[in-house]
Amino acid sequence: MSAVSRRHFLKVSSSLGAGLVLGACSLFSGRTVFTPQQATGDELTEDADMLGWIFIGTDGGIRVTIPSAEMGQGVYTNLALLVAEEMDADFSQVSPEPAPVDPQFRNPRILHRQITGGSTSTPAFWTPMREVGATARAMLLATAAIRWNTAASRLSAKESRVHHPDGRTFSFGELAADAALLDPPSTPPLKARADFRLIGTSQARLDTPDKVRGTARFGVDVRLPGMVYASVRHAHAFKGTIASVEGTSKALAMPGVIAIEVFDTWLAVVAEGWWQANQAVKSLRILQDTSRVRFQNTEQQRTALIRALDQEGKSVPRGMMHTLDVEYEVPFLEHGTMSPMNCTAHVTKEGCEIWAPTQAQTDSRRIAAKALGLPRHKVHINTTYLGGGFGRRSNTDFVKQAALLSQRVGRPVQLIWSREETTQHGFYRPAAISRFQIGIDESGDASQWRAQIAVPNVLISQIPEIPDAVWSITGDFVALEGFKHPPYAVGKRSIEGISTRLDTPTGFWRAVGHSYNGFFVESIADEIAHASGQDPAAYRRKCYANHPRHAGVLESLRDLAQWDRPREQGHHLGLAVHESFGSVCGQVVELSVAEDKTVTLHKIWCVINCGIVVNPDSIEAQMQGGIVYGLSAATRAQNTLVDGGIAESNFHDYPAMRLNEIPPMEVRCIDSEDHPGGVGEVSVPPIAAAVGNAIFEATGERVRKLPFSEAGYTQWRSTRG
Amino acid sequence: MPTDFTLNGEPTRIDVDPSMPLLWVLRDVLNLTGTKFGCGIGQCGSCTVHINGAAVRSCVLPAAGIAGADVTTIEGLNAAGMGFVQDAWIAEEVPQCGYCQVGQIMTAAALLKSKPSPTEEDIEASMGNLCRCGTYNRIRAAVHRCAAPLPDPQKNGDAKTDGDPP
Repeated sequence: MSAVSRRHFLKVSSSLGAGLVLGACSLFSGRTVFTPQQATGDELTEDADMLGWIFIGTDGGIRVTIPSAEMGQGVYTNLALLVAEEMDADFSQVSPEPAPVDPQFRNPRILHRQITGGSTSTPAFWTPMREVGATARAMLLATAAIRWNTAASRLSAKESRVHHPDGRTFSFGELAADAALLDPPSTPPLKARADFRLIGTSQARLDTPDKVRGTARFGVDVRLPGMVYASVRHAHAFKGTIASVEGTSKALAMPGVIAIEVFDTWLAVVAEGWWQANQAVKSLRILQDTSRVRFQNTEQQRTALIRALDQEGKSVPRGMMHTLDVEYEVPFLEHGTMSPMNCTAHVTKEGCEIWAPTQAQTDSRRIAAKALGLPRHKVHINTTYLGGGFGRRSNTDFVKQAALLSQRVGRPVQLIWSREETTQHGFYRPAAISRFQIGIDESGDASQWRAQIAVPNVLISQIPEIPDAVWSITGDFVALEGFKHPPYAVGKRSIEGISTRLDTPTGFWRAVGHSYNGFFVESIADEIAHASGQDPAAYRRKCYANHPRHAGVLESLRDLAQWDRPREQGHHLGLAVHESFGSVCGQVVELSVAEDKTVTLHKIWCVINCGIVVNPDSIEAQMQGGIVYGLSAATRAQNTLVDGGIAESNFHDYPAMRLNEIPPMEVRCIDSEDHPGGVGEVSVPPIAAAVGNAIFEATGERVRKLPFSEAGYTQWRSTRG
Repeated sequence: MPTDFTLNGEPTRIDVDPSMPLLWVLRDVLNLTGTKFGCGIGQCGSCTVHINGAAVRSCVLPAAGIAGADVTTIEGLNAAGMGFVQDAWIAEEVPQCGYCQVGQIMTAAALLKSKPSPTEEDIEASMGNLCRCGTYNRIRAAVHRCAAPLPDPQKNGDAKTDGDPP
């Protein structure tokens, strides 16, 4: 990018304080986001010319800077699409580029940090990205107007060309260098919806070709000259520390081993290859100091949650037509990203260069700088593709480790955790127990709604610098999201959240609080309907009188799934609708249950209202993926505590759904005029309840504790057609 | 002791610890990073390569076991005449995070080589690799597409059933 000279360097203010760059640089052609050759030492020099939202090459290539991490949700494509739309660019000429760490790329919806999470990317950057595109378009048109000695208002743009009414055209590439010399307009007009050509149409993902060729560069694919590999082990127990290590001299003598580095709660072996490092680290015997360990096993954690609920107390409404007095429960869950935790770091005299599959660039830089004793601007974060995120990679533990190891051994280090370490040292979706005391009146309304939930604080693990006293005032809105305002509580309500410390580290896990609160509330809604003899869909329709988006999703879902159609003998339906991340998602599951409790999934229907639809195929993919993710959790996943640490270690004892278990799905997006809502997480919350509600229809058994395998539903299969 | 084998059509010699799994020979010794590490115990299938045409999980295959074998990785799949599988993956927009997809494609290619028109049961029996993004129904559709090529489906915003046989 050295061809971008400062003379051609423009900065303008958009709503983000964004820098827009129109430079006369020759871009790499095609859509390769990363090439392995890019990861060389010469990137260690800070290059302010890299900062900008758009680079237009003289060859017509358009590089759009993407502030969010690509972890499978399609954000590289969808944010580039917003720019291309307003720019009237040829989308086949557009390539995404991950943003470096810089204030202009902060996520305005999450603490003004550069962070990808909370299904915020499209909602947060919907307007800024379009403004970037509109600004670039205005400058290109102004440049053409000068050349043709006419008014820009007479000109139009299409497919990366500016058109004169008389038929003459310039390509964007031909105009780029001169356009970069202009003052950008302050408030470029944005298109009316009717003028969208790309938004609302399914566009192929820009990252797919590299991902099917095996050339997409994930964190573990970074290769640097002189690089060595590290494998890590932690003290098994949470809050445990490493007291001493046995077997170090033998491990140091193993082939390829370079160093053993021991820290307070973890150690690592550095070697010429990762397998050698892992063999050596596995051979070590770690003696723990467990004096700070308070919880030895899951039963002790459950007891703490139940004690917290007992202290809060409960009262079952009196004088009602029907009452419910029930308890629900979910376990801790690790994320199970396909790629284990990893990070590559190179610490030199000049600073630190990091290649990280991270959802949290700002935090990664801060943590690494602090660990190394460097000023933040000396730490550069290169975001690679993420081999799954699901929230796990919003934590920065692995970034800090890689930086420290590179500093210790004085070479570039690629740290890769084993699957076992990844499973046992995560930031878990919290376990939770909730209680409901519901009073149902003569008209079948839940006019008395009392609910309590005991759950560990999620935010405290993410923002440890905030003291407990503050949390006690603010509460943990993430752990309680989806619990506080059920649309079914139509009368008096009393809803309490009790933050309970259990010491298992907690974190953001796809849909976080919604993932279990959706299960609790949508199961209870079904219980209310059955207790009062109402059809679950009809009951919900009544409750949605003042919730038009819920009502719209429900009606669309009834139509799509043909809710009222008689089913084959033994087939049963379950329904759930849940609002999260600015969108509403509903699902219907059709299943049958055999005598031995084998569950056959026949079909799943899903409807989402996520406001304006940007890329329909991308939304469909996220609905499908979130349903599978939620099914894995609901059917069989749980992390149990034994000896103060997680007992499960790999995919054999922490399993997930496979292809043969997944039924056909049908997805519908309701297009609306609303600001885009979240997509990546919103299909997770309803699925557990939809399955549980269908199992109740089939068996009369109400399963109130996940996973379903605990109730004997251990075999799952699917049918086609 | 050196081990000789054929890698993506090229005669290849390595001199490594014979117990080092092929996955790490490929990734760290030969610098072919397309094949991915997921679990290390043969559970997830992200590391799938072809040994003499059959899908094998390379994370649990010792280097000693490949002497004289014909090894194909994702980097050599197109040259081996199986690029149409990758094309099907693109046409069906299968990948999300993409980390497992190389293993999925290698598994599908081996299946299609032995059974060019696999049934639903064949697909379910062979395509057992994990995908945490949940792309299974699109994987199923992509395998079917390889068996019977179809024109690009018109993808629009309305309902579309995925994963059904064409």
